[in-house]
Formats: sequence, C-alpha cells, structure tokens
Amino acid sequence: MISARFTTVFRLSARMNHAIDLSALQRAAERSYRRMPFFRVCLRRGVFWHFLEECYATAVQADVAPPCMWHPGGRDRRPLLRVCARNKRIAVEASHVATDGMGALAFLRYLLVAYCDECGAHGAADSAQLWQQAVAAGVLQPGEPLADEAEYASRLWARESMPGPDRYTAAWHVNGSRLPHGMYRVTTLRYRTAELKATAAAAGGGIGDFLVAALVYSLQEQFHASSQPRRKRRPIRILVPVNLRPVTGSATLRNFFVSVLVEVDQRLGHYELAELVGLVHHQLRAQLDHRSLKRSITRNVRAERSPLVRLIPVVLKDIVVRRAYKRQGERINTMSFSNLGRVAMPEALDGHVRDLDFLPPPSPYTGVNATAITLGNTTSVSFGSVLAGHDLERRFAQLLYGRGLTGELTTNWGATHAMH
Amino acid sequence: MRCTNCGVELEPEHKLCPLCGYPPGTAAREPREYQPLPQRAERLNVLRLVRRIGVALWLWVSMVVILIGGVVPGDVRWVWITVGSVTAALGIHLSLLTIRRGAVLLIVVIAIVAALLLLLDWIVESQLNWFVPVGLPVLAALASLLLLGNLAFRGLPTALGIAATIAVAGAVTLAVDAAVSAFRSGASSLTWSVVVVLAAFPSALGVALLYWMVLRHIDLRRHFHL
Repeated sequence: MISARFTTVFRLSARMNHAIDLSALQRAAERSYRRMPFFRVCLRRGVFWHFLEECYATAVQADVAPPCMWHPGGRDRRPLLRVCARNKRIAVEASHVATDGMGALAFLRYLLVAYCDECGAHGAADSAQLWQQAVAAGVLQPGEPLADEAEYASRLWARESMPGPDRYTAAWHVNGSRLPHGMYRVTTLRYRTAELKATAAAAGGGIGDFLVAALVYSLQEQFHASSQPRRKRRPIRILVPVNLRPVTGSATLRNFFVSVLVEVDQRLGHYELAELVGLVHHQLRAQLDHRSLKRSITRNVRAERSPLVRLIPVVLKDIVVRRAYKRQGERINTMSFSNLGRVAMPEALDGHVRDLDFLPPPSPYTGVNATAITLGNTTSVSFGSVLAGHDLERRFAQLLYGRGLTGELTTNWGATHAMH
Repeated sequence: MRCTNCGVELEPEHKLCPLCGYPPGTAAREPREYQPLPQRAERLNVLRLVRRIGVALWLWVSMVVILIGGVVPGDVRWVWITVGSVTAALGIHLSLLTIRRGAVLLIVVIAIVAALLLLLDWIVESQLNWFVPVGLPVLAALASLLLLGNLAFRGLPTALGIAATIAVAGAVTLAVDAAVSAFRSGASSLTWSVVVVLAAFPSALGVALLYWMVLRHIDLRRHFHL
C-alpha cells in the first residue's frame, strides 16, 4: 500500500516555549527508544508477508522536508517512528505500520518528559518528582518495557464467530487537481478550548461532535459548489477512528483501533450545523458499542488468518490488498477525522510545552484528511491535503469564525495567488 | 495580524491569508468559488516517463539502423533518411510534450519539418530540386496561416477553435495546391484543393452552428468531470 503519496505516516509534534537543545533531545530520544523498543523496527518484505525487524535507532533528524512524506520500506532500514526537530518544535513521525495515534502520543509524551528531564527544565521538582508527576498524568512508567505494551491486541480480541461489519458504497470525494508528488499542504488552526467547548455546547454537543459536524457542514458546502457529475448519489461520509484501548482494557502501544463512519446523504436536503451536531452524536454513539467494534476487529484480523491469503506471495498480496483497499478502504469515506482528545501533561512541563499538533497521513484517495488534539486551553485542528485547492480548510475556518471563534493559523503554504 | 474573512491570526511572513487570499484587515467579500489549480503538476512525472521512452526508442532505432547500414553493403543513404526521420519524430514528440504555447509549438514543429525536408533534399543530392520551390512555400504558408489562426482565435471556445482550424486547414490546402502545380507545370493553378475547400468551409460552418445552437448551452467540462 505504501507509496510516495500514501505513506501511512502521521505526525505528532509539540511546540515548545524555547529553542530545542538537540543534544538533550538526542539523549531523550535514546531513552524513549529504550523504553519502547517495539518502535525501533523497520519494515521488511518476506516471501509471504511483510514483517517488522528490529533496527538501530536513528539520530534526531532535522525537520526540513514536507511533513509525513517519507515512506518506510524497501531498503530503508530506519525505524518506522522517527524524531525530528526544528526551531522550537519537536516532532514524532510514525508509520501506521508500527503504531496508531495513541501509541505515537505515548512515545511523544515520554519523549517530552525525558527531554525536560535531560534539560533540567523541571522547575522546583527534581527528576524523581518530575517522573512521579508524569506517571500520575498518564505518561508511561520509566524502566523496562512491559509485555502488554507490545501485544497484537487485535488478534486477541477477534472472534471467528463474529459477522463482518456492513459494506458501504462509494462516498463523495472532494475533487480537484493533486499537488505534485512529495508535496503535502498542512493547515493547522488553533482555537481556545474553552471557547470551542462553549460553542459546541451551544450547538448541543461536545468538542469532538462539533468538529465532525463542522467538517460535514463544510463538506456539504463544498459538495454543492462542486461540478462533479452523479455526485448526488454519493453520500458525504467521515471516517472516525476509535481507540479500542479503553473499551478492551488493553495497554498495547501497537495499532489498536477501528473506524466508524458518520454519513450524511445530500439527497435528503441541506443540514444546519445544529442538526448535524445531533446527527453526528447519535451516529457515533450507535456504533461505539463494544459488540459493533469487535465486528470490525474481526474483519481486520480475519483476512490474515485465511489459509488462502497466507499462501499468496507478498508481491501478489500487495496488488490484491491495494485493490481491496480502493474498494472498501478510503473509497467509502470522504475524509477521515482523527481526534486524540485532551492530552494531559505533568505540571512541571506547563511552562515548556506550548501546544501539540497532530497531522494526518496523506491520502491520494480522499485528498484531504483532518485531525484534532487538545492540550490545555489550545485545541489544534489540522488538515493534511494533497489537493491543489484549499477550499475546505477556508470553509471550515469561516464557519467557525461565523460562530464567533477566532484562532491561530499555521500552514506550510503561503498565499500564492492574488486577491480576486 | 488577523484575517477578517477567516478569523485566524496569521504568521508575520504572510502578507495574504493563505486560506482566503485576502490581505488581513480587508473587508469580507464573497469568497472565491474556485482556486486556480496547477493543472499540469499531476502530469509531470508521466511526461518525464514518456520523454525518456521517446529518447530511448530514438537511440535504439538509430543504433540498430546505423549498425545494419554498416553491415549491409551498398547504398547507405536510407540509413540517414531513417535516422533523420526518427530524429524529427522525436523532436516533434518532445515539443508536443513540453511546449504549452500553441504559437511557439507551431514554429518549432514547422522548423523541425523544414530541417527534415532540407536533410532529405541534401541526402538525395537535390535530384528532385523540390525543397526551395515546393517545400519552403508550403511550410511558410502553413506556418503563417496557423500562426495567424492561433493568434486570431485565441480565447475562443473550443468548438469555435475547431471550426476555425478546419477553415484554416482548408485555406492551407489552396497554398499547397498552388505551390505543387507551379513546381510541376510552371504555372500555378488550383485543382484538388477546391474540392477540399468546398468540404472544409461548410464543415467549419457546421461546427460553428453546432456550437451556437447546442454546445454553448452545455458545460462539457462539467459533464466529462474535467
């Protein structure tokens, strides 16, 4: 599946209040890799399967290339999770082959605490107190890795007797030309969490529901401005990954999530934002029951257990998987929205970590994906896009501005065209 | 520095809002429906691939022909005719791939064809003596008419452009016919080109009428998902 435009790489980054001390960060990264050795693996191709092989940790890299655009695999024997730094930003880029957003977030949180420890930037607290605070805030306990953290939880929770989840028709996609290969436009909008929460509550939902609803609303506007034929037959569908650890009690740091879909059919008419918040809330809750989630886990695992699939050489498997992914993968969703929710940090880091950003992996099928993450009073909503146009991002920002929400914009894309 | 359209705080280096394209502080205006898109960006790698295939084919054919020419005894003029033709084909192929401005493309293609004709004339040692009296006038007529057409019809809808091209092509045949007949008999006269013109001009008119009555009411780009 991996290609120059479908790298499966996502990024979590922290903006610090001071310039990065690279040697301290290097030591912190080494400590983090030692604590989580299952991220120090590279992707190798066998005869029947791709497999993960332990490799050497790389040094902290300069964050100069477009984000999320390196793709692991081939002869690249570097870890599937890497640490980059630039100015005041520490970033962790991880391939979905190795872990999911929560796993990478666990790494980043550990890295940040280790970095502040290495810098001696723990204020009045000493190192032991810093780690005590960190563990209390949910950061991994320092020491040896635990067996539970490296388990393949999906295999444990799959049940053969479970039916597979429903199949879906193709969804509508935002149309437009793609950026050249290797380019990825990132747009991050940061809003004050308290204001966002109040606006969401006024619309009748929480921050997560409100953001999904706002995305659906923006897509709805984009849909009606679109010139694609037959678009009315295709629903707007947003894929929302669900973290399975709270549901199952698993402590794994490998991939452990399934996706649920929020759907709006434009043949039924135009939806107002408040309607969408309610619709999203109920659709999500209806799919979040643990039985439905296990159906999805079973579907994911069933394919790799099939004797027929096991016998097919990996070269053919790649082709088949690529086609299957096109049919029942991103073809069925307009975009994905991954919300890592509120992240807790130890108090000692309050003056050091300014905010967190989360960038989605690029997707040539959907074109644009979105994410959200909250640290303290800052909620970052990021769009990652390989589309040449950025209408969706503009519509989203203007929608929230229409509700009185002003934010901060960071993008790697300048205003390249004149005003019209 | 805040954008009053999108409500976002901009970074200092941004003179325009990257989302809506307006300078900060500009009064809200109707947002643009579509952004200018870099249409060619997607095709760049395909172009490079096709270009490389073209060059590889040219090298291969030229080498094979020269090798065969070296092995086979006798007259080897055909080797240079073939190599010249393949080179001209490659030149036209690369021009079509890389040059986007219609007028420049026309000039380059016509220059390549002129060079090929000159080469052929030189290879056959001007026995036919046709390059100056026929080749050059025909090419000059073709170039000037197509250039004029390109400049005059720029900005027209595609269908009208097609109609104009058909009409121009008809007019070019008149020049070709006149040059060939002058070369053969010493006096220029129009014969077969009259038939072509009689077919071309009504066709051009038909396409123009089709555009006027039907096509201008339909957004074909939209229907073909372009």
